Amino acid sequence: MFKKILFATSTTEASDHAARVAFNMAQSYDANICIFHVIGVPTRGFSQIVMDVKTKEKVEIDDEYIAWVKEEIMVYYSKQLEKAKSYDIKVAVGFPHREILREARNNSPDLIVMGGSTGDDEDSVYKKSMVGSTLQRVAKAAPCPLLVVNRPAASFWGGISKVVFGTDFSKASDAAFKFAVKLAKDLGCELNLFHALDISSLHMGRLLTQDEIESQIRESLRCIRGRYLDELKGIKDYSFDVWEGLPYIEIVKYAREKHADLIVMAHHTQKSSNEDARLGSNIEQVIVRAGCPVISINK
Amino acid sequence: MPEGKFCNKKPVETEEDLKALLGDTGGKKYYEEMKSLDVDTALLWKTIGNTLKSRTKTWLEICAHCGMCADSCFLYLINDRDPKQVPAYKIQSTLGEIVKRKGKVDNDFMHMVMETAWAKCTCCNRCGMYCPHGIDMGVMFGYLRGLCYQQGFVPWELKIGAGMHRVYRAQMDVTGEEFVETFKWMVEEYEEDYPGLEVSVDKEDADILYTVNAREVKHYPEDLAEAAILFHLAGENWTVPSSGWEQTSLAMFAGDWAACKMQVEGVYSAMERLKPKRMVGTECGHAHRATVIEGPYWAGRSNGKPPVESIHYVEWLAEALRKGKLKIDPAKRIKKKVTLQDSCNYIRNHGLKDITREIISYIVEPGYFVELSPNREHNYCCGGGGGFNGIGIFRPQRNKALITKRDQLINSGAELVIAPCHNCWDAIRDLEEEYKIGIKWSFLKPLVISMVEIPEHMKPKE
Repeated sequence: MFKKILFATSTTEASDHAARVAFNMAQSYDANICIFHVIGVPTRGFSQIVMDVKTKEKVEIDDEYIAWVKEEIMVYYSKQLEKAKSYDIKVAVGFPHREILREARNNSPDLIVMGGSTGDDEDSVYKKSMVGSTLQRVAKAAPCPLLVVNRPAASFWGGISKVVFGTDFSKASDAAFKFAVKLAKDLGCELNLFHALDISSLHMGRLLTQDEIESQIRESLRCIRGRYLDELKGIKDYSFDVWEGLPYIEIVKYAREKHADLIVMAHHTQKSSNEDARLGSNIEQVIVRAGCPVISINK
Repeated sequence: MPEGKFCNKKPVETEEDLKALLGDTGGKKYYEEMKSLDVDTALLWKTIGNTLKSRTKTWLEICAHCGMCADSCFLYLINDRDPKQVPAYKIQSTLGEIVKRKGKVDNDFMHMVMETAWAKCTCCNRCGMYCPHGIDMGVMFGYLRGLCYQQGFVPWELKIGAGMHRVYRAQMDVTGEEFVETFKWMVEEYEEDYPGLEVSVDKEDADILYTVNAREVKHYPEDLAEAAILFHLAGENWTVPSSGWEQTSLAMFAGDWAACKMQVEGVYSAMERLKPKRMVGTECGHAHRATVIEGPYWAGRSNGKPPVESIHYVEWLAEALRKGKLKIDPAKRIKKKVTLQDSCNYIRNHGLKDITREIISYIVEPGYFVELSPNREHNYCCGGGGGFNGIGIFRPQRNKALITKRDQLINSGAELVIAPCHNCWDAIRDLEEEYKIGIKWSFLKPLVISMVEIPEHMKPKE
């Protein structure tokens, strides 16, 4: 199921945890791993000068420079590459999200793996011309599942045995569900289906009585079973749960409780966020907070 | 050595030559070779005889050296009122001198001419407005660049840029297939958010033929998606051509007259082939100048107009908002201090100053718009016009030139500047990087998309 992995990396510490997961997976599933690095962001009008994303220097890209950057990547990942069976190193010039999406469109990987935020401040080259983060933009438009490893805690991963699937009963969630089922079947792992009853914003400040909450939980449980049970044939271990609270917090708590090593969720925010919105949607919050990798599916 | 391997009088005609020239990183060998490039004085004088017509001749002769143009030139002001930056001096000491000497100038002289033509004038044409005789040094520098190009004295990036147009009919290495594929990709990426979003390629008799800047295709194709979304929401019958889609012309900045003609003829032939009612170009200033204002003359069109009515993006947008094809949600209008950068190429040179302000009246909450001073046709160049933005060897001069715009922006107190021109957008981006004044900048398209009302039947279901 994972034969081609596109590992999009800044080749800095921010991508180290993702690297561990990406190389692990490539090894476990005999996948080809493509290490993809965007060298620099074009600048200076029509000139040939780009801003190197790592050194923040203005450089002129030529074959020699590209060869040097590839060499640097080889050195940076030398340990992992020793064990890698099949890999490519590719570099590109452009805005990172766009070049990652272009590569994904051209080579149809089964999975894109990325690290979390580079945590850069205002001075980041990535933020020079485009608002919003690379991650958000890739998550919104990726043509295949996107696996994100944001926290170090999320990266100690010896294969997938327990998957949490979070749903909000949307159409997009159904697509994510299909992927979660296929994954659970192919890899023979446990699938925990989860819905969080959002009690934070729905009722405009009115406090729900405990009876109301519990009745809605029962209703959601009926709903989650009704919607997904038939599709779970062939999966040995599965469970359904509905908890109430702030959805992203509940999902993160639930995954921790279940010792999950992967969360699968749909990404279906309508618009790429504007400059004022921080990581807004539930999945983005889950990515930031989860103690395991998160797979985001948008179609 | 008369002709170098990289620096010579021959234009770049093939992909192979283009790659070779690009391989000379930063133009190091190119400029080294330029030091020994011969000037073909006979050819220079002959060309002047054929092309220096009465207007330019008159302008060179009637200049009274009154100095009224001095204060009109932002490069004069920013360079401590250096007399050598007075527009009249700049053109008299270069073109005027070449004519006086009947073309008999040497390599050193041509080096000086090149620097003057590309680093001391952005062809913003502001001086022409203040000259009592109406002498436009910008126009003359455009002409002078042509002479420089012919002799091989042209900045490395612009030799490449003109070569790109010759090889790809675009300012970057983007083919027609790549253009169409990228446009389709963008529509796919956004069609879930905007059901029914599509792009028709080579549709005949459409109301609008849309042309773009190759950089949108290469580096920020979101711009193509945004154009598609707004045409879609406005219910337009629009199309893009599979060839003749590039509206810009680095050949114009380079002074490569033959390439200018080739480039614009490609666009005109798309118009003739597809017979649209109108052509709309993207948010670019020099592209409009090249394809709509000057292009018809390069192509030898006797009426001085492109084959079909051709308008700038701001004209289309103003019309769509005026007629209610696009409706703005009043609650989402811009509510922070915002200003507008007037692009020389379609404001001063094509009179669209009121159109852009009409757009402002729809998208900015009353009370939040502030003008730069000066503004409209009196506005200063962004600091990077005429090719200045992209030329590596003139970077220090360009960065100094940005100070004019920087101070205008600071004095306006605006947080955001709307810059419906690629060149201005780049220059403001660069000035923020260079001087960090905390300004934000944007094209119109993303701003309008963030506040346009989506008709019920166009909303995504679920």
